[in-house]
Amino acid sequence: MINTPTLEKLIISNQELVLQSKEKEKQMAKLVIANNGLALQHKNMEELLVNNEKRFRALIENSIEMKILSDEDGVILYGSPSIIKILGYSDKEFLSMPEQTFMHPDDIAGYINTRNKVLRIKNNSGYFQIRLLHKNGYMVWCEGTVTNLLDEPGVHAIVSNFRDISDKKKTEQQKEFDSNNLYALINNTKDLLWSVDKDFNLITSNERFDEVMKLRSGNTITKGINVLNVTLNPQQRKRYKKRYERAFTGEIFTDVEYTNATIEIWSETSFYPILKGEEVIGTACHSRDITDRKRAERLLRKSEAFNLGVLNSLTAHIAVIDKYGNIVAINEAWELFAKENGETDMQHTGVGSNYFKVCKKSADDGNEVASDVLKGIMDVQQGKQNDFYVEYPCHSPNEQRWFGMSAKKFEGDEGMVVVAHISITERILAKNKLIVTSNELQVALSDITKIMDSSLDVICAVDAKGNFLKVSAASEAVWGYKPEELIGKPFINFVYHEDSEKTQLTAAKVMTGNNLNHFENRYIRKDGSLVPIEWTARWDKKGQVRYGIARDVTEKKRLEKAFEIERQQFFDLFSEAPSSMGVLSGSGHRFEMANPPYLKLIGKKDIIGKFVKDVLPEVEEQGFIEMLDKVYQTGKPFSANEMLVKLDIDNNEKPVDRYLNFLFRPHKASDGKTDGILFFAVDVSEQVLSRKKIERSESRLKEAHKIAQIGDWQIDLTTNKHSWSDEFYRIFGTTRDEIEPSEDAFFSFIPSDEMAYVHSKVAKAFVDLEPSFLEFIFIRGDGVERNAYSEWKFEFDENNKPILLSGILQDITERKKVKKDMELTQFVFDHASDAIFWMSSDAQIVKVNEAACHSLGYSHQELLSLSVPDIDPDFNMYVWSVFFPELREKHSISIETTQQKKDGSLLPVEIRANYIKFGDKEFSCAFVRDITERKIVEQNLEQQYKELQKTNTELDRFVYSTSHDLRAPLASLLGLIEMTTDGIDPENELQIEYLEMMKQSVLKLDNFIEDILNYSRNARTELEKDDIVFEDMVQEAFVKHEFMEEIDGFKLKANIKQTAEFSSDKRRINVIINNLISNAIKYKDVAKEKPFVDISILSDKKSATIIIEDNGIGIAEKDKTRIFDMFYRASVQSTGSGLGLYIVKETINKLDATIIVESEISVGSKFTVTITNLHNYES
Amino acid sequence: MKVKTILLIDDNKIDSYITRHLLLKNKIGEIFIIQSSAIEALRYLDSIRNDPKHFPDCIFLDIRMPEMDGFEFLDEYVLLPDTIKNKCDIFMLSSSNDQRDIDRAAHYSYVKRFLMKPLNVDILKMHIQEAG
Repeated sequence: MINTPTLEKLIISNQELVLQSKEKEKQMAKLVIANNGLALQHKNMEELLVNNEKRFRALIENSIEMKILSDEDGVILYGSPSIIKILGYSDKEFLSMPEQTFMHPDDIAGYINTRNKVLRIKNNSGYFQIRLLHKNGYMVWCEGTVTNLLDEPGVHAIVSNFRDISDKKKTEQQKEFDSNNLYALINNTKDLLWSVDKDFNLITSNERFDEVMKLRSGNTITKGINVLNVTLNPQQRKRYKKRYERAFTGEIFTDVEYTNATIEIWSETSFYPILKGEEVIGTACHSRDITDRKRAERLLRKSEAFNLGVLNSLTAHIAVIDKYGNIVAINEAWELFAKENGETDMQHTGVGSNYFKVCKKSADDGNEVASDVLKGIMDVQQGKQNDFYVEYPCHSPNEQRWFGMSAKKFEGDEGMVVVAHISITERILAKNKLIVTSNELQVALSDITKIMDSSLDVICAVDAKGNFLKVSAASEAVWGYKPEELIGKPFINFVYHEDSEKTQLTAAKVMTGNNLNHFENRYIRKDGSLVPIEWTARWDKKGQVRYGIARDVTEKKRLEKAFEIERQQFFDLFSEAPSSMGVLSGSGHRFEMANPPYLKLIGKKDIIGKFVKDVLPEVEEQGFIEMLDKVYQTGKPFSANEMLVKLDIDNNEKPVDRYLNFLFRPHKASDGKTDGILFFAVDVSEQVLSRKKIERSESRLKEAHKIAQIGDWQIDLTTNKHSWSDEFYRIFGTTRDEIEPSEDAFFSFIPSDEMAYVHSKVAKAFVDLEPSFLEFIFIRGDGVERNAYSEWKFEFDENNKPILLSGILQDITERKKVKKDMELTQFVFDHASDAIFWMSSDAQIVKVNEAACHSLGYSHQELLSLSVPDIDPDFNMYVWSVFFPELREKHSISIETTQQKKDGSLLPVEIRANYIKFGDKEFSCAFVRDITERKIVEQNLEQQYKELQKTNTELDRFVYSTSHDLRAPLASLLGLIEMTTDGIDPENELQIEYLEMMKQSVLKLDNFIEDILNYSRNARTELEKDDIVFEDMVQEAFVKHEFMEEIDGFKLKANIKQTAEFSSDKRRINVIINNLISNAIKYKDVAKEKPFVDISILSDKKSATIIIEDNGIGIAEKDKTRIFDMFYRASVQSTGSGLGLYIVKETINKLDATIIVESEISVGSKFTVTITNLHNYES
Repeated sequence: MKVKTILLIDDNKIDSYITRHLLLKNKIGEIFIIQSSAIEALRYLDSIRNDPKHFPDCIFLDIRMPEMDGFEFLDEYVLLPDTIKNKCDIFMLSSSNDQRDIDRAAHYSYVKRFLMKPLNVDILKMHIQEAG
């Protein structure tokens, strides 16, 4: 929404923008000129000039701004390259053409105008906006400047610089369109809109404003006129001036004005300051005719006054009292009556005084009616009866008075009762008089002879023509005429003219033999007044005479009238009553009457004359027809409160639950028999439903208290009745049978040393009357001392008098104990060096120690507002949802993770989380240790390990190459030695011996290399796991040694028993077996006839025991400990490198195996190797 | 089965010479084809694929050779027609005594046996008999 001030501002700022941009153009043009001049001044600086030339050309040619140079006549001399980009013309199409060729016809005149102005003065420039024709036929909006540089040496042209502003134009047009719309809106409104500057001159105004002003002043309104001078009278002018000035202070406000010059006009005017920056430069005003609204308001007020008037015009004295008897409202009749009776200051019966007190005082003074009234009102209030009515005399010294007093509950407002006193004096007086009259009549009748004359009724005889024949003496009393004044005259002359027609008709009827009873007409008395007469007449055919008895029924009429009024009042009450009521007649229960609330209740119309069972078929099966039948038959009323009735209110056969208070009261005919039923019903559904809701929530609270082991107690302060809940008894360790709730009973549980304290606290509570609490010690029924906690609050009545004190009681002994225990724990917790976090099952941090705060850099409070994911991003809620059940199961879990400190840095930690359950709450108590140092060490280790592994791999590759490259030439050499030996003359023993020696040397080197390689492999390579079949392994070893030089006559024996799959490092076990076998062969005892080596292997699931036994030269005792040393050679017989057993030992170490040596010189050696089975049987 | 035609593949000509000498001396084989490169050997085998009478009965294959080593040769060898492969036993003959080489060789079904240089004719004989 754009309001006028804003629009103004927009327009102003836009103009400023345009001005600014024009200014810039000018400055730019000046700059170009200045620069040109400068360049020319330094003609001699040719280089500079050339450079400038180039730079400018580049600038011009790459600029999106278009440049056209034209001569005096507008013929184009030069066009910048940007023209091709924007307008699409090539130089060829463009040059030498008149400028107009490319312009919109409408814009040519304007451009020529600008150009001519420019032409007059050299170096002058002008701004223009123009539409140029694109080669493709459409127009391009451009703006620019044209400058006269005709006299400029080297230029000699009119220079136009311009650029494409199509987009800007579009926006402008849109804006124009928007503002047009806005103006249309402003001008079409019926409100007045205008703005004035600080000199009260009109800046803007809408058409409506102009129109109204013109109407008032007869002059056309023009912008700029002083608004204070328009049509305003001096007063108005002063007022408006004040308002404008108020608006100039920057305040926004609205004023309402009333004028009643020719017609009544209400107007509402709002003022908005117009700001320019901080400064107020004027005010925008908005005025609206609110006359209609004001009229409507007035009407409404009138109708309120009317209603009040109606209430006040009621003759009944009416007061509304609340449940405490306070009078909250009275009508005029009430006040008047009170004042007439001496209550001039309305101290006892005015609003705010207490009606109960008045009644009570009166009752105490012996007024029985007053006590009846008091009781009746209270009964109505408490719902014991729907209404209360009593008639009572209230005679003043001057007159006898009777009143009917009724009290009726004010539905919808609890405890409110409407008390109405209606004067029934006239009725009572009339009644009394009637009694007197009939008594008199009785007396008169007793004397037959005086029947006629003494009769109060006129007894008369009329002849066939209608003339009085005889008239009794009572005529004087009744009509004012003496009998003789009447006799002989036609009776019709005395009948009131309005009644004459019906009287004659009736008379004719009587004369046809119809007896007449209770015909009524009016006679004109002698004094001219009318008297109502009731006739009894009989036609004596024989005598052609009508006898008639005329009774003055003035009194009766009055009574009837009173009755009619009363009936009408009743009917009004009946239809306006907030409760439903009606009358049923007959045994079939036909609706005779039903008031609107009843129709609304049952959701029906037009029920009068219909039977209940037809109107409300749904109630038949609910037993209501039966109830009505019973009431009708027995004549006993039936009432029920809050009875559930299902009524098809929406007439869609979907009955709705309604709770009703209702009464069926039999209506007895004059013969005492029941002829109908009066029914009254009040819809109490809302109350019942809301009460049920409360009951439900109360029972829930009770249940909750029971579960939480909270006892409830209450003291009704009006009766001082104490009540304790079951749980209260349980906490005190007693039962309802043992003890009655009371204050003394309560104090009987308090130990003596605690008594003073509790007493003082209780006393204070009754002084403060504030919600409070108390912790105290009590002795439970079983004699155990316990701690209790109680809190309470007071409830007050309308007069702020406390009426109820209710509270709860809790046994907090355990809690206290736990708290005490906790204090020690707390100390440990707070001062632990490890960070400790308590987390609830939903990952919320609920408790932390100092170390925890310190380690993460959070404050205590901050940490308690976080949850686990906040301090450990990896530990998101999903991870937690898996973690917590696992913790619940395992009770303790250790993990390594990373915590995030408050500053965002990460902290590697080791966490030991423990599952703890308190009551029904579950926690994870986590001990967190900073493992930064350890992590660094671990990382270093890992790094070192990686490097080592790399070195190892490299070494391994080296070893592999070596094994080949070193052994290859040796193998070749061995082959060659063999060949040479083959080819030699067997006689040439010396050569054969040399060759053999060569071979041994080569073999020795080969063995040595092998040993070195084995050692290296063992040291470098990781343990591998292979399936091992010892049988195959030993066979291979045997094959390998079968071709050894020393094998002749040597026996290789094997005894292998493998009972289970065996896993270990095959290569390493091979090294061990091969070395030991080869040693056995090498160090055989040549002295022995049958040298042998015996291998026995026994392997099971656990391990393998390899025993290699020979009968070789044996090992001397001194050497036994040294044979495994590197390069140690115990025997001269050795051809080895001294590495063999060293490698065996190293390999044994690597395998985590054991080796035992048993040996005796010249007997033999026995090596026992035990290797663990690495086979994984579990999987 | 009589071993008649033998293919020796070894970049070291001295070793091939020694092997041939040792085999001849022990009367194993009559015709010796000596290839000093595994690639050449494959080419040769491919050239005789339709010429069964020239199929070798036995190949002695060195492991460490330039360009294509013994194992790479074996990977190509499996692509040759069964007619050649079914008739032929391959013995690895190397100066390597590295268990990894031995284990690796065992994975090739065409490899009969891993032998160490210099050739131990007694061991070889045992296997040729077995094969026979």
